[in-house]
Amino acid sequence: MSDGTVVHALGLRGHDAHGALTGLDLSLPSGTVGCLVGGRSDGTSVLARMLAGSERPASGHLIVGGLPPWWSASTRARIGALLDEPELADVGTVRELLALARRLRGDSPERESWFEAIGASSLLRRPIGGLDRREVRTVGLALALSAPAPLLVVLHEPLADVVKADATVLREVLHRRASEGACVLVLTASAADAAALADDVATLKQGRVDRAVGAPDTDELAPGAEIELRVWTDKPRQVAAALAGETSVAALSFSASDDSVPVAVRSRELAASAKAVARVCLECGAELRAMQAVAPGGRAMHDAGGQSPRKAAP
Amino acid sequence: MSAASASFQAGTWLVLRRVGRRHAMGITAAAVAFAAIASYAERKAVVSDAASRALQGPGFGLALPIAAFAVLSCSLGRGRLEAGVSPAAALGAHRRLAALGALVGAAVVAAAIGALIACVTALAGHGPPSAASVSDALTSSWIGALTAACYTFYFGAGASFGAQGGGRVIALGLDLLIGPLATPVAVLFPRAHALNLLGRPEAVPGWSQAASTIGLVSLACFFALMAVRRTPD
Repeated sequence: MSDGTVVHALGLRGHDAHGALTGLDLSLPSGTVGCLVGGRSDGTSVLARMLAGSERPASGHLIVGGLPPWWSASTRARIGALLDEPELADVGTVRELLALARRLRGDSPERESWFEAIGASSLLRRPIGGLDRREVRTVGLALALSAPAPLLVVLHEPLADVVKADATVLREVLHRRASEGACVLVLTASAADAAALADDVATLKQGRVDRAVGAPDTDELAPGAEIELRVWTDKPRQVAAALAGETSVAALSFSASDDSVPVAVRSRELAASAKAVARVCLECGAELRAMQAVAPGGRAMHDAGGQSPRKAAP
Repeated sequence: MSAASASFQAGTWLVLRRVGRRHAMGITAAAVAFAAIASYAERKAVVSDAASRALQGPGFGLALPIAAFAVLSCSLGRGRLEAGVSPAAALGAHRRLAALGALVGAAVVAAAIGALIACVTALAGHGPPSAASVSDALTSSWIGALTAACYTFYFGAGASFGAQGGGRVIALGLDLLIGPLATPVAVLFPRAHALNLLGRPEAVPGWSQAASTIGLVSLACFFALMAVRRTPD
């Protein structure tokens, strides 16, 4: 597309057995390696299926390279996708499957240099029907990364449930694809995987792009970085007031008008802040209903207007 | 090789792998055993014209359409027609061509099973082999092959309806209910033409056997076209 936007989603809705998209707006430019952090219940698996053209959106618009992937075979041929549960065409052995992919997609090398590093080389002679889940996902990863002249490479949990999880090799291959003009999107529940693979990280929560950090903040997702703890209690005001004096708490917020909104506690040490929350609840006589640790938030990274995350204001 | 022919081949190859020897043998064994036992029972009840009754009743009435239905279900799985070829579509195959390839592959398998069902039914209905029974078995075989292929496309078109391709079950029910009725509407169902070819001209009033042969081929093409048209590319 003329403005460099490869993926354009507007009001995208759909669901699978694990989660749903509830009106996702997303624009992804070419030449970037982005990541959406979220679980399958947040809609990552169904988003991957929709982007791959394997799932028809229930409503909304999804365009990849100017055409909807569900309807366009030529677009799907230029999308490399690793789904949560890849459906491999059982045409015999892995080698025969790769040969079929080459015939359908056009020319591409028979054997990529990185096959060994991800453990795909050892699977070439294996029958598709005899592969276990890890091996199926490894073959799916090899197929996704070997798409010739890809418009989009979308990978769901590329470092989980695969034969060899080599983040360094994968990052290099992804960035090579991005430098060739592809838009690369990693969908993962792991902040560490996101930091290891992508330049730009956003969060996908309950089917929407929730909050994001840009490239400079990516390292903050690594273990030891600041984290947010959400606390559900029957006395949020008292708990927030008591937590304000805790040294382990960097910042906190709560809703003055709605007691059902959780108290958000920002801290550098998850364990220390959790202990502080528990102690404060005990002291206040508040009922501690639930605690949830989430990745740190920020501004929206990918907006529907097609703004590159790199260009977004800090 | 062009992407179009690769798509068609991918669909055919997928189906042949899915049906496989084990499923094909199982379906064939069950259908042939049922047809043979039913044919033998017809001959035991009334010797005269037992083969025709067995062919028109349990052979082409139950065993053959259900065998074709089973072959198609093994080929596509439980979902819609396009879901059956989704592994190839994910690699960039044209869904329509892959679906056509899948239906052609399934039709070839079903035709072979249909021919065998018809042959065994006729032979079991005639009793001790004779020149006449062998000739009847051979004639029944090609009718069985053509009818089974037509049924495959018919159920394939049905599989393009419904969230999970449940239209194929409705198609089976309609054929069972309306197909045997000697009404103008029956012309739209494979069963009526098969019955005409097996010697029951009242199944399709006013149609010759040659016309019913063309009718079966035309229905197969029509349902194939409908299935492909209803599949997103």
